[in-house]
Amino acid sequence: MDGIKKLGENLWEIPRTGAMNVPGRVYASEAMMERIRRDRALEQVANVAALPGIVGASLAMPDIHWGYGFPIGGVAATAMEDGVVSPGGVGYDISCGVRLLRSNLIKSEVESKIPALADALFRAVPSGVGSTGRIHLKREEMKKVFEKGARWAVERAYGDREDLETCEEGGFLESADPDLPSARSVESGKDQLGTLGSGNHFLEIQEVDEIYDERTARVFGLFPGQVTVMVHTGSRGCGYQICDDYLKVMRESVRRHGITLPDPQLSCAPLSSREGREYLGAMASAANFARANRQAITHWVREAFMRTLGVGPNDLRMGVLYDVCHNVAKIEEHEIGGKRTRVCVHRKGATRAFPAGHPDVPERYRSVGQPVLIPGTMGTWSYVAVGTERAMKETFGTTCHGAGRAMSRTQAAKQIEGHKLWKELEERNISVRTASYRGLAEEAPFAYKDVNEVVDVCHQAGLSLKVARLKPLAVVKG
Amino acid sequence: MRPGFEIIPHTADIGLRVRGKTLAALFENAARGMTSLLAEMKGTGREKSANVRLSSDGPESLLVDWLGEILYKFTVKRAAYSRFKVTALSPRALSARLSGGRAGPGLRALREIKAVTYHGLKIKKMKEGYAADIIFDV
Repeated sequence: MDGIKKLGENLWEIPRTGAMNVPGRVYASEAMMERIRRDRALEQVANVAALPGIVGASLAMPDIHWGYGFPIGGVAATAMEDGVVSPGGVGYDISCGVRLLRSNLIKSEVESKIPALADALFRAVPSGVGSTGRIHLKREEMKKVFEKGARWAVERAYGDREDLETCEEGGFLESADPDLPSARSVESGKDQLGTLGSGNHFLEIQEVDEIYDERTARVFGLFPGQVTVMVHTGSRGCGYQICDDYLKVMRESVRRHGITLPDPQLSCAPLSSREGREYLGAMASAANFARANRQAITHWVREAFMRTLGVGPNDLRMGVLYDVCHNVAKIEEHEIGGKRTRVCVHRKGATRAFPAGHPDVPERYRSVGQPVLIPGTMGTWSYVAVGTERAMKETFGTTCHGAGRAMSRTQAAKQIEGHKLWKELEERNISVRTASYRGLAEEAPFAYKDVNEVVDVCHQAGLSLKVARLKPLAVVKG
Repeated sequence: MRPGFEIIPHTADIGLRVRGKTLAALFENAARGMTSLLAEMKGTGREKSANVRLSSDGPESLLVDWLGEILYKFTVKRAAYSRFKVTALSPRALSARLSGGRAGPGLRALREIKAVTYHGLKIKKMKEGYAADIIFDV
């Protein structure tokens, strides 16, 4: 793509041309930009800029890569009055996200038990292609999950009430309409609650190996050498089906409202229309399923740790540090042109990063800001960061969501065999348990960008500030 | 002879380039291609079959719906098929027969496909038939 201008050390602009309603803005270093130009992600940033009612700019975080419709790492805010909501700006895995569990354990205490803990987690949490779980729900109960999210799980003794206090929105979106998801979406999700799935989803046992901001780490309950567990999964089959169902609705809506789009995957509906409102209600139902999913998994992670280590909940003290999703559309208030304005913020592979003092940050963290959880690849670090005022001003309170892919899955699987990768990771003292060696190869660390570089660019750009680095000890892959 | 489908690279997901001398052949090859990404069929025994009837707003969305239907049978009904016969096809409607199906232990899942996307989807009419690039979210 031509005409891209460098606006600052880590910021680039795609000038407004053709059908674009706003410019595109990409956060990346010079070296990263060189690589980003190689696939079609920038073209997708420009396509998103053509959405009706988009405000500010079509944004991309440093982990940007070619997706479908929106790029992964894409952010777009649309005006409530004349803007649209686009299911493609959320993706099929609605409310895919990350939960981080802190513990009272230090690595040296459990080092010899890590392989046994990896085995226990692999047994406790169903993973792999089309994995079905230990919970089987009828339609009426699925409606309750859609309505209550993680609260549903806690009410059924999968965890503690305290867990909800440190989840985004208290573990559920109030805007869910549980009657909207189709029979097929219910059918797709009814046996999948409490499952990891496959692809890039994982469970990881980690060690806090570096602290960058002691005060914030203390408020988040993190300390050096501490054992943490990261859960990365989403709304499974029911989310995919809800997205699919509404893309059909939106295709019709695009025709009816005379909207012209550069890519059919960007199909959308006015936020003020019935189909726009209904999509948001159904999407929130899937988002709540995802939150219940991560809550049920949390419960089994705790059980697996207690059983394997022979300890009780008070010794383990495995609390939820935070639960944040990176595929979602939310109605939020932001300052645009000096005026507080309600907009619909689409985050597709991008993480909310609200600053200190924001009312949506849990009370416990309000003095420092919202925890931002950035998973790395297996074999590389993950990060805990904190949201900033700068992010509120520049990116609708958003930062990166992970390393971001750099190589296709087929190419990765060609370059290394799953068994060989497994051995390499084991030799580096990372216990790996997987349902599929091919799946493992597709997720090889070299298929991703350098997570350190991605996190550093966000830190330097002031979108999120580094708090702690987490080193993998064991990985369970679907 | 060129195969009816081939994998094309995509950074995050998986793509298929599908060809067919006729539109019906394109749909059949797309189904074979997607199934080859999803599962391996093994063993012998009773084969499953099924009929599919769909209508949509145009050939591209009909192709997405067709593959979506086969994907649904795989992910929810846990059945995959090896033979696909489109028996009637218009730009907005399709009837087909799926056969050579396996379920349960006769099926080895290879990967999860979350969905068939519309991203850049365009069925192209060429001198030697039809072609389309389809991106799957995995």
